[in-house]
Amino acid sequence: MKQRLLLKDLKKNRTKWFMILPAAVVVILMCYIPMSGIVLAFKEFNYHDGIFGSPWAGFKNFLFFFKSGKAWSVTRNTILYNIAFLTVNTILQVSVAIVLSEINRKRFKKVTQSVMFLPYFISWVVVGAFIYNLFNYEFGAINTFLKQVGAGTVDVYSNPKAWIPILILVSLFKNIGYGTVMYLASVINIDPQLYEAADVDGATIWQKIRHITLPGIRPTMIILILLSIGTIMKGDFQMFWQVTGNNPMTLGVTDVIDTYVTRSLMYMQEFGMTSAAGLYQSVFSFILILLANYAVKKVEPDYTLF
Amino acid sequence: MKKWKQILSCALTAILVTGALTACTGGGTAGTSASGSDTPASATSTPVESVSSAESAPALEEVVLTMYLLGDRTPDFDMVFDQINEKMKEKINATLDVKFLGWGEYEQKYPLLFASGEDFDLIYSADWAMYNSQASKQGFYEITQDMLNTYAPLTAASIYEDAWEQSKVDGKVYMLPMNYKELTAYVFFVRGDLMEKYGIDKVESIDDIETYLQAIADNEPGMIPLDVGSDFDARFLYDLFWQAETAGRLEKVNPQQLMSYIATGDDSATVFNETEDPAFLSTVEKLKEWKDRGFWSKSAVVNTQNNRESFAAGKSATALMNINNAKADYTTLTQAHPEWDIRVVDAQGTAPAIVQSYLANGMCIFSKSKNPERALMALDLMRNDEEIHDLFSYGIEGVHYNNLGDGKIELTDANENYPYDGNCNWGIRNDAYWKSIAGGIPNYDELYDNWIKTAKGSEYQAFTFNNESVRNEVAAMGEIYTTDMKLLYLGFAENPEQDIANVQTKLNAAGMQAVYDEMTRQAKEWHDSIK
Repeated sequence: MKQRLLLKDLKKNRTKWFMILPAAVVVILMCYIPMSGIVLAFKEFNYHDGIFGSPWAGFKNFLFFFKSGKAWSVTRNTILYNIAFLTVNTILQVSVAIVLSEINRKRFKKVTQSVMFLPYFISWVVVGAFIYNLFNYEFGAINTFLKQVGAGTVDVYSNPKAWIPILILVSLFKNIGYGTVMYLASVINIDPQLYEAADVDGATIWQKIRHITLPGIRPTMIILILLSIGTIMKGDFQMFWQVTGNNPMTLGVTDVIDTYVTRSLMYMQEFGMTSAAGLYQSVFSFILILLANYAVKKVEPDYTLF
Repeated sequence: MKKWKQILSCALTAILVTGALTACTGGGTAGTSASGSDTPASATSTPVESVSSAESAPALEEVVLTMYLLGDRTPDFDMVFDQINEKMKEKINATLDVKFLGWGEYEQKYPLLFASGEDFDLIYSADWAMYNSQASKQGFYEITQDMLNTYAPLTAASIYEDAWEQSKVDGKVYMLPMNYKELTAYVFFVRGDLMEKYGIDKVESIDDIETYLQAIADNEPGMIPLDVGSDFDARFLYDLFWQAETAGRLEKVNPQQLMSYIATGDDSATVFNETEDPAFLSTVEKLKEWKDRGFWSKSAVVNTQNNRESFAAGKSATALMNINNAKADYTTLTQAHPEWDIRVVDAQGTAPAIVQSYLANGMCIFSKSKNPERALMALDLMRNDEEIHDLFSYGIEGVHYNNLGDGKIELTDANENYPYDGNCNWGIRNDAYWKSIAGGIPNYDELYDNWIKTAKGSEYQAFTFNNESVRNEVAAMGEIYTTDMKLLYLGFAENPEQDIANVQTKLNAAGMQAVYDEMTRQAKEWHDSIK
């Protein structure tokens, strides 16, 4: 009976089914099939026996992560940074999107959007070079300027605290344009009649934003936030590695799971241990997203992911 | 109408996606199918001189062997290899298809080659380029004495016994290491024009270097006296100071990331950490003093440019490098900047030069190679056929170099298209045919004579540590090596004594003792076995 229904649905909505086909193929090929590689985390891998034939290692591959006592600090850093990025990025992306939607001059709007979007395409390696040329102690732009005006120099690379705002700003620089476009699209989708009605009632611009725009883009916000919670255990490796220059002096506040794992295994090439670290991140991300989804379900059952 | 448009766009997306996917997978197989068609069946007419002792087939089937090297393909590389292949084809009816792994990516791609099941036969390897880690994961084909006798008789006759012994991992040989004794010694480059400017008559010792660096630090605000700190040179100065203090009483045990030493003459082979030796504190203190005097950048730990590049760019006044790099740099730099009047200064001081392990360069056969015997035959020729060895090492005679006789050659202008000893030919270097460049560093002979008198290798150079039972501890220690230790190697220490104690606490927490216990056991076993 159920099968009949599915067949019927396939026939009835064949265009829609056809439309999700490419996405489904990609997800199955790129995500579900490689997932079997998770077994690597529990294997003592060698080339001869391959992924499935290598001997089992139990949980031995996970040990290195906890050996150095850094597991907690890097996990904490990863989560805190992602929360900070998420909050700051979302607030600014939404604000900029609303401001842009209120501006009527088309050319200005287009130029601003493009300029903000541009950094999204700049490689982290290049951003890392910018940062180095800004903060280098002897020849960096900042110190050169400070020397010119007769002020003392700053040594940013040996000052861990400085890196928290730097990383947040850099993340903002890269991602603000991308998010803004998403939110802008959802602002534009709000029914203009609502604004007209508000005008008739004599609402101020702030009232319109608060009571029409913000509630209107709430579904988009919730979905985007839920999606990024799924990656909260993954530090953006390129960003942390390149921007900080893998600087040993600031690791206390700049080390995230991904950079820590890379450094530990750089000379070893242990596929099993790398997979173990990946699995650790994925399992925690999965739990977090389930919890977040559950929380959203309690408050706004309509906006959940699943 | 609208519906049609929808269907069309869907179909287009589907085509694009499948196209992208097949393009990705197609790349992997293209390399194998493209082979073997350039010269048709001449298989019957090939006499096999070098393997005449082998009873294997009277005529060898034609094969194309894929060989991976490190570095970048130089402009004339294919031209040189066309000639090599011509000779190879004539002698063993095999040709080489060479692929490169660039310096920037080889650390990631090298292990992937083995894991992805790509079809290749030969690959460059070295103790610093993953020989041990890949060998212990069965990535390489085992080379036995029998195989050597049958398929590589020239190598069997010429290979240094030490080299053969050193390449053993768990008693099995997976590599043909270079047949070449390499000396590692460090030199400073200093600039004569700056010496003159600040009234320094001579720079010959470490103390003179100190004076020179101080003069630069005081007077040249636009220059960094010595721009160390990149992954390439972060521990160069440390090594010099440390070796000067510990030569003759400590033996280094590889790998470097485990910071392990054994006291010279200690038959119990007890392994300990370098930080536990009193000389470590004095070395770090000296480095800190130099760093505080501004001899290198306060941002040195995030430096991505190595000191050779900085020196060449005129950003720094001194360069520190090993003699092999120095030979190449000296020639190019004196041509580009004759006004600098570059002087080459011995940096070894009282520290003896190091005779490199033979494993510093070598060639391996892939464990899943379809033609391991033929690969071995090809290696035999590359190592021992003078013509092929010379082509690979120096390029084409008359084009890239001129032979002056007496083991000396002269480079031509075209040499930059196939640099001397710069095409990852290091794994097949053979002392019997080695030729050096005439000219170059003026005081080279004097320097070399000094070094060769005292040069020695570590007693445990040939020992290879199998880390299987302590991999987690090794990973944790490796992490400390790249962070806390790197800071100390560059003199970044607020309070050396305290910082060293902190590192020791971390190392102990990481399980250092377990690693050293295992290492001591293996080292003792190895030590007893060679007596």
